[in-house]
Amino acid sequence: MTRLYLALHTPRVIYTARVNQAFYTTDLLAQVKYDGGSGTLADVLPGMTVYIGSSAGAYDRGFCRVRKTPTSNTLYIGETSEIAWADNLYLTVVDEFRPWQKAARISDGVIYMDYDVAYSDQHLYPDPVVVMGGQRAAWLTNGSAVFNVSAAGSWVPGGGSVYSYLWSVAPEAGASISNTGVAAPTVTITQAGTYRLGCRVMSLNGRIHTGYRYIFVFDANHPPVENFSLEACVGEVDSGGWQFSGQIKGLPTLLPGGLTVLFDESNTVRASGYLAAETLTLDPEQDAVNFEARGLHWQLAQMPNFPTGIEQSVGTPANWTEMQSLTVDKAAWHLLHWRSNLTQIADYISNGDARLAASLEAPAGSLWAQLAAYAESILAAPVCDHNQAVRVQIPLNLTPVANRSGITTVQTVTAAQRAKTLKAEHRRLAQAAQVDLSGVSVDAANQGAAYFALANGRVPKRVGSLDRRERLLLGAQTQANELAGLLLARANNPVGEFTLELAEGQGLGFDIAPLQYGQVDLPGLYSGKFAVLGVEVHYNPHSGALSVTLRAEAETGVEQAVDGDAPPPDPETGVAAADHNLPEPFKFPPLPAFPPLPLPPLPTSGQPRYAILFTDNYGLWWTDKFSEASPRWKSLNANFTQAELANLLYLTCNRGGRFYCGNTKRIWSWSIGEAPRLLAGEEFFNPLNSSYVIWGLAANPYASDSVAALVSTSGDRSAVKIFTGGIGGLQPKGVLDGAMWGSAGISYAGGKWLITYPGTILVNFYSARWSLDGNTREFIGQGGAGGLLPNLYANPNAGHIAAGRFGGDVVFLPYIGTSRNSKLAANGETETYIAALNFDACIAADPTGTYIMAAYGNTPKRSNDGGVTWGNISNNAWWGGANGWVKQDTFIWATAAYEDPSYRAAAIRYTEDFGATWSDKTGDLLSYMPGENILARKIIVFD
Amino acid sequence: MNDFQIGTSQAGMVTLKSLGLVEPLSEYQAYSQAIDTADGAQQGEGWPLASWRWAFITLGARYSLKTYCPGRSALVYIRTLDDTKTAIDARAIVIWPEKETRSASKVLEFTLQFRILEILEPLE
Repeated sequence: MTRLYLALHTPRVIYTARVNQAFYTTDLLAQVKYDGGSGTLADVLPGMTVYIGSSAGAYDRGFCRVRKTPTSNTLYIGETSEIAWADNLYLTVVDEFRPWQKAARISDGVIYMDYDVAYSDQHLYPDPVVVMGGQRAAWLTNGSAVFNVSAAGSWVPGGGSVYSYLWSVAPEAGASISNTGVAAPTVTITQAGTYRLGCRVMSLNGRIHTGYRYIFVFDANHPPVENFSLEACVGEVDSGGWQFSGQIKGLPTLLPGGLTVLFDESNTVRASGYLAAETLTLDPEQDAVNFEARGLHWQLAQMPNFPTGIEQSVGTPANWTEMQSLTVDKAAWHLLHWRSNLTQIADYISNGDARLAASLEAPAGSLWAQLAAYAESILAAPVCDHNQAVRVQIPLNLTPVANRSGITTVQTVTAAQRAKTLKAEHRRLAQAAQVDLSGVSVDAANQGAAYFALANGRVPKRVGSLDRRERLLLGAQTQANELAGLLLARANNPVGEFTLELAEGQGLGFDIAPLQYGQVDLPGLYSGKFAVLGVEVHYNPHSGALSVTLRAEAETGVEQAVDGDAPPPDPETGVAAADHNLPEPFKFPPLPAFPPLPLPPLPTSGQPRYAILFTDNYGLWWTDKFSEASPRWKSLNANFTQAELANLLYLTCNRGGRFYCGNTKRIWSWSIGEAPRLLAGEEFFNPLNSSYVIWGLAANPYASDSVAALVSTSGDRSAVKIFTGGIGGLQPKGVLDGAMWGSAGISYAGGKWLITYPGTILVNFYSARWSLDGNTREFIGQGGAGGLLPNLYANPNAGHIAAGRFGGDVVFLPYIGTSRNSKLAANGETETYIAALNFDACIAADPTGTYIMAAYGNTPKRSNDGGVTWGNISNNAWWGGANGWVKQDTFIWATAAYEDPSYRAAAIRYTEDFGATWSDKTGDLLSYMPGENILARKIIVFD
Repeated sequence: MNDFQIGTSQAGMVTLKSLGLVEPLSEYQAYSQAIDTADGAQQGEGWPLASWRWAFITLGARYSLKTYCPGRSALVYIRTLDDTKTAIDARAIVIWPEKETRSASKVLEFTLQFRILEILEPLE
């Protein structure tokens, strides 16, 4: 009899800080600015968990993973879209490593792992895999708890040796390591607490990787959770791992997804996992929390991943999709190391299978499903043991008989050690009539052959199903035959799966991995070894009895098999689909390319990579080197006439990098890397109204291709309709009230179109909100005295500028030529008068409208309180004055203006600190603009 | 040594006699559950069980006992007899009777159940 305990991980706080930036988007965030840091920054380790909360220490906004070492003001996190970020949120980095996926990112055709890790030689010289055991828990006995730890099983994918070990434990107080530089030291803990055990392993080629596990130590004053009942503790090969559940008395606060360890009085870990579900029972007499902890198999099965594929390269692998001497082990390592952080938090134990693959691929799905897809090619499956060591394991009965000699027999179960009643199917008829197996063998040079095998032969058994296995990795014909024979023997096991209910204390050494034998004598049914398919641990808290029930299958051997038949030759070409003596090297289908992301990467804080602008007279220009000190600009003008370039009015884009520009007659569109092409012009509009004028143009930033234009359908300013559509064409929709008596503005906000325009001749303007499809007007308010929006006097310039690059909470209506500027809620319904300053059209703000930059005559101004107060931007030598533009991204602002009042030169400037300092991004732009009257207009920067 | 005792620690156990109680009728079971095994035997599993039973106890003695088990159950230390009638010290959970039948300042048919007995080495 024994007692069971739960160790619930309550992570130690490592570092705290607060978010120090505004957010124009919460999508695809990979780093966050912070201030007010407290703690030792050097203690923040990649992989640690970050709580994001609205109060100190809280995680009500969610969790992130530290992606890489932070700087003094930037925390790099695993790319995320699930956090509702806001300035001044609380960041708490805690001493916890939970399972995470690492997203692959494609930018400009380049694949990055974990957001920004470009391929160099990571597949040529792989990081070592740290195998250091699982989580540990113990009671102090006579003032200490001693752990014999070992990382001797660490290995290097593809071969190579481990060169050195470096163990660490944190916190150091109360803990010591006998020798930090050996494979198997002793760790001694003398104070109750939670300790992080680290083991850094270096390979001979100098690559290092560090694994982390936790040691929970308790004493009478710091006990583990005892007041709980264990409802189930089960490990199943089919599901791939262990899970356990129970009920804790009271209402303890459980950390969502937190590490949980189930251990017994002898300090043996019975299972570990991460909290996956929680049910509260509110009862005035006895509150309780029901919990479920599940292993990494379940955690990884919940993590979606992009399609993955690795191709065997003959030469040096040149990118993330290539590996030399590709095995399932190596492909699985890539998945567990570069697509997730599993190799940091758990053991991945090589199965040593040397069969090579020309390619291994898995479609989009969970990380676990992709691992299973890799494993399937060698008839294996991924399995986590009770303490989360991961293996790609070939079932015992599919392991060649000659290779089973090293498998340990855990226990011979005697009649006195099992319950008296046992039921099992005694199969008298064959279940499988024939196994038809095929696969390929390749060498490191991708030369290969196909093999076919039939068990028992070409004539099926009298009864049973036909079992076809294809696309396996094989070593030789003999292996194909043996596998076919193993499959047939297993399918026709004369004993069905059986359940062994064991007496108290028996069978506690069984696990679902690694492969292991039990032995049993079942008179009349079976006598011999069995393989473990499932282990269920029962605990009776009243009796203290800890017992095990096994799900098992009797060991099978191999049935006879023969060489199979290759498919007949192609009737048209006469070429054999596969031949044992292939005249040509075996060709594999090309590895599918990484799928395109739904949209290219979105802008994030930091130096943006791209910028696009248009100028008077010199048209459209862009650069993909905006982050460099002297960007090189490229023209987008090939498809434009000189007249079109001189009259461009509109430039807008969506978050996916699709651009739209236009003048009063034509609209063009293109994506990054393409040349602009005409979306709509006279050919489309003239049949509706030959006098048409395009009065406004805006993109839906959230759609891959959705744009709205305002176009008059009668004369040049009457019956202005909203046209919506994309590169496939535009459709006329609703008609605006009134007419168009000056410039208009249209922008996207909250799934609607906001349109401001002077609808009454030189008197007032309208603020109108229309549905996204352009069919329904949902609101209209008239500005000026007596109108719904009496403070707005934007006439005749009723065009507006949306806060944020893609729209935000407000829009601004600079009242050019007078001292009256205002802002309008993005829904168009409420207005705010912001300043009696004669702002030019160059005004921009962060998405909330709090931080604003504007030009006031020749003076650049800024406000950090939404326009209530204004100050000069001191470094203003570059600012040319009216019609310069600033476009903002939180604290990133880029301007395009002219350098001096004579309009001689365009100037591009960039700031990350709200105008305190500026960098010159003009680069070589002026070298393409030899003349004068260079008026740089709108600029958009993005990443 | 053979006196029945109870306490909140092994060193702090007192005799039942000092609480005004006579020696109870004690029972002891070396296991708390049993399974039938495949060899035809039955295997006892789990912690030992024990119980003390009195035909009646006085209310005063009842209140004295209650101090060791203020609620439905409590962790106590006892000295009782095992199935060989040898005195043993044990740490155990005592379960207070669900119902008490009182008559003439006495509690009739009073039984204390002890479970999860952990046998302790006797103190010197």
